[in-house]
Amino acid sequence: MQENISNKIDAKLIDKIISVAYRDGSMTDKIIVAWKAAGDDNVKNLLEEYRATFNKVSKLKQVDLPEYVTEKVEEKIGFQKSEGSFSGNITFSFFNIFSGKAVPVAAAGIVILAFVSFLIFREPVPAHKYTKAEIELAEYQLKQSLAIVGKVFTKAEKNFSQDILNKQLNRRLNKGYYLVNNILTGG
Amino acid sequence: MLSPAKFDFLIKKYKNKIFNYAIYMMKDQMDAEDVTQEVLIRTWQNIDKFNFNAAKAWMMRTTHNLCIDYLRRNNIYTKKETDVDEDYNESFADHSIDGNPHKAAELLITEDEIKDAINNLPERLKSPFVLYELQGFKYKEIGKILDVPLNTVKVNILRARKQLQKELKKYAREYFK
Repeated sequence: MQENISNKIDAKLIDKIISVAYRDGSMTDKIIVAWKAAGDDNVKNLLEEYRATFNKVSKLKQVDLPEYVTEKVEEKIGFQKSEGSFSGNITFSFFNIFSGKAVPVAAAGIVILAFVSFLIFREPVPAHKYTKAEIELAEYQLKQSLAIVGKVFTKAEKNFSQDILNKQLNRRLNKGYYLVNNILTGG
Repeated sequence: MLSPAKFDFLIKKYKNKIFNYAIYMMKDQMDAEDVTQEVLIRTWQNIDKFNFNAAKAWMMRTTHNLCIDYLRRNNIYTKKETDVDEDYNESFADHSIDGNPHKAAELLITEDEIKDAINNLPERLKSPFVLYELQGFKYKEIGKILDVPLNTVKVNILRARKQLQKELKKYAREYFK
């Protein structure tokens, strides 16, 4: 039993299908059309039909202008052709390069190449060589610094153990013991 | 001093593009040759006047204008506003074939049939279509050649694609899968 399905495809979707088939759809359009085509045979068929047309159109061959037409033109204007000559090929290449996108691309390429070459081939900065006297002086200065730090810590320890612990804390502890003792002995 | 070299370069690079565009516009090779000849002569006459980098657009625009002038002179050119099926979307959307939407219609179309179908497009759709799909021009370039806004170029190319598909249905032969 065949279903007679009337499948109306939304006009906007048709436009997307056509753009995707002709390979100038956006990434979003490609995703939407692929998703719709996976779930709807009509969308899939429409896409395939437009794709087939695009493939045919893109393969249409160009017809070459017959030589006698250009010869007629050159005769009328009194133009001397330089085809086949070395200088003619050079000038053609010159204009071909400078009339297209080749110039900015080539310029960017040269800049990048120059930068990479600089990074690879630059001379390394020579490491500084210290003399024996400089090393010994540095060691002496290090020891001095450590000694100063050590003195500071020693003094701090003395202060803590002799002054703070002995005098301040012990006094209070002794007073505390005295009070407790009094309470316990009833005196 | 560089004028002959410039001209030589321009001929070599663009002569076939001009010729092929003229063929589609004129629908006749002899007329297309005449138009191409005229374009090349005018290019030589103006070689020192236009910006070399804009030569491509200038030459194609001259080709287009000469084709239109020729067609008008011979009363062939009409704007053919009514040729575009504005309801095409609706009529095409329902493509259940013989009540079976799963039956695929495979289009077997020859190169000549495609060319005929393109030639049958209305002029205002054919021009941007040929320039974009066959000559490889970008939307912006086509806008300059045809002297129309960018959006108009895009819309007309889309319409041309739809109209072409409709034209090709006449040549379509079906295979049953």
